[in-house]
Amino acid sequence: MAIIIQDLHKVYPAKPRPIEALKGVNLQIHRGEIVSLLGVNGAGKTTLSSIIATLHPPTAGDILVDGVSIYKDLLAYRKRLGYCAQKPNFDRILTVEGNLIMAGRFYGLSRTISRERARELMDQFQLVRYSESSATILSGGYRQRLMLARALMHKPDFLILDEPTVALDPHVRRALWDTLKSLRDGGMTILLTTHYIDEAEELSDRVCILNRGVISLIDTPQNLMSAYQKGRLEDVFLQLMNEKSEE
Amino acid sequence: MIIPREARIAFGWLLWRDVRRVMNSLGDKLIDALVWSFNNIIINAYVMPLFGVSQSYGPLIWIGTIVSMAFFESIYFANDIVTDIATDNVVEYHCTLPLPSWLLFVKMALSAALNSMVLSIMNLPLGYMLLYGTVDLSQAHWLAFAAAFIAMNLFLGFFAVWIGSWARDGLRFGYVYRRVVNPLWLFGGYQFSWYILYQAYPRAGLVALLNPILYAFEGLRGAVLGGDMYINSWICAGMLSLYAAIFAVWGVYWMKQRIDAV
Repeated sequence: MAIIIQDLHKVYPAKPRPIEALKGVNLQIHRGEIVSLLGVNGAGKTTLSSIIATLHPPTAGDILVDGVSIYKDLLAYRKRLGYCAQKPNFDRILTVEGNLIMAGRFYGLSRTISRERARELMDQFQLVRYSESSATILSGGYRQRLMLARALMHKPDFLILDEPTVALDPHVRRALWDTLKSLRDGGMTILLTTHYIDEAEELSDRVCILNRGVISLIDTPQNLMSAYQKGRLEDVFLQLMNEKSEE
Repeated sequence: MIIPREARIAFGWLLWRDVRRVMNSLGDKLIDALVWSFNNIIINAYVMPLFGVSQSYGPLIWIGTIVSMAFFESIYFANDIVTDIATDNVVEYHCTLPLPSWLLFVKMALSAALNSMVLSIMNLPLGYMLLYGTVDLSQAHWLAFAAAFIAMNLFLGFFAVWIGSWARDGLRFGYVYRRVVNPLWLFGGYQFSWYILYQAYPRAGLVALLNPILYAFEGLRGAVLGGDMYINSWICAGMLSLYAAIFAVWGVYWMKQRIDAV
């Protein structure tokens, strides 16, 4: 699933003046790659990812999938999309397994397939022992796992993750990284919004740095580090932010 | 308008999820209905006549409790919508499902309607038992009751979505009760019939006709208690359906604006 983002603008009405969160973003995401969106707070990362996730409409611009605007057949696009929000928003009245099965049913999976898929994902994300528990009793790390498992229930082609590892323990983060890499290796396209630059460096095929609603840089982590003659992506990011603040 | 199959599936399962939620809380709802009926009917049917109020006041209030409970339950539902947007934001997840956002908001309204329907209908037998043989049901028209009752709950469902589309966070929801719910409820006729108001104060009676809750009180009372004291139940069902349609368009449009949904 190749995604082309064309001249995307987003303006939020506000007083005393409207906020221009995105100022003409152009980006191509190739099939089977992980692209990380990096940027300081307010750079437009979540706005961009939420528009691509069809949570919000753009003020102007378009998003093409396989050459066709997603807005021409929104539901078909949504069927191929998995979205994992930053804040866990599972169903409080359902168990862990119930949340997953229900997610499968929303996408038209049969009861049997939903159950099988839920068990497979609970196994993959070590959620089996909580399967009959209310999702509300899960700790932060397990909640995030449940969110990711839910987003994967219908086997989407394209996965959008908004800060998926915020507040996770280091070993849980590492396990999640391995999962994302294996999904990418299986052909899934992944857009990752993150504050952790080490995460972006480790996971991304390409890194997209957003600043004040525009893309400042986009390239592979290796190319960016070579171009800036830095050993770590974090140093590239810091230098770039310093340059931008001086402009 | 043709709704695609994937949207119908997602819609159906979202609605089923809410049906299960209502079913899970049936015990609590029964207790709520019992307390509500008991308080209102005992005071109005057995205590107020001691102060000179007519004996027919009990049955009037009995049907009023059905409408009141449905109305208040729909406002709780609106509070839930507002609280969800401000906290868990489950609606955000639902907005990524393969169904158009307007259908998601219609689902919200239907869930609110179902919720208020289940809770409020319990007051019918409970109240009847509490009134203990003082109600004459010989003129009851149950088909008209069903029409007015369904139309009322549909209206209240869309009204809940409409409230949820503009009310601020749950913590400051009290102003909705004070400024919107209370006037609509009291002037809607919880404690009186429209003809009585109209005969005493014709202008106030005419203004009261703008209040959709009035048609809920009048329609249900007319259908169950009969007589010519109330506005015709079928007219009330029609007016409630009209208000439901108005608030459906208005509520869905504003909710879409509030969530900034595609």
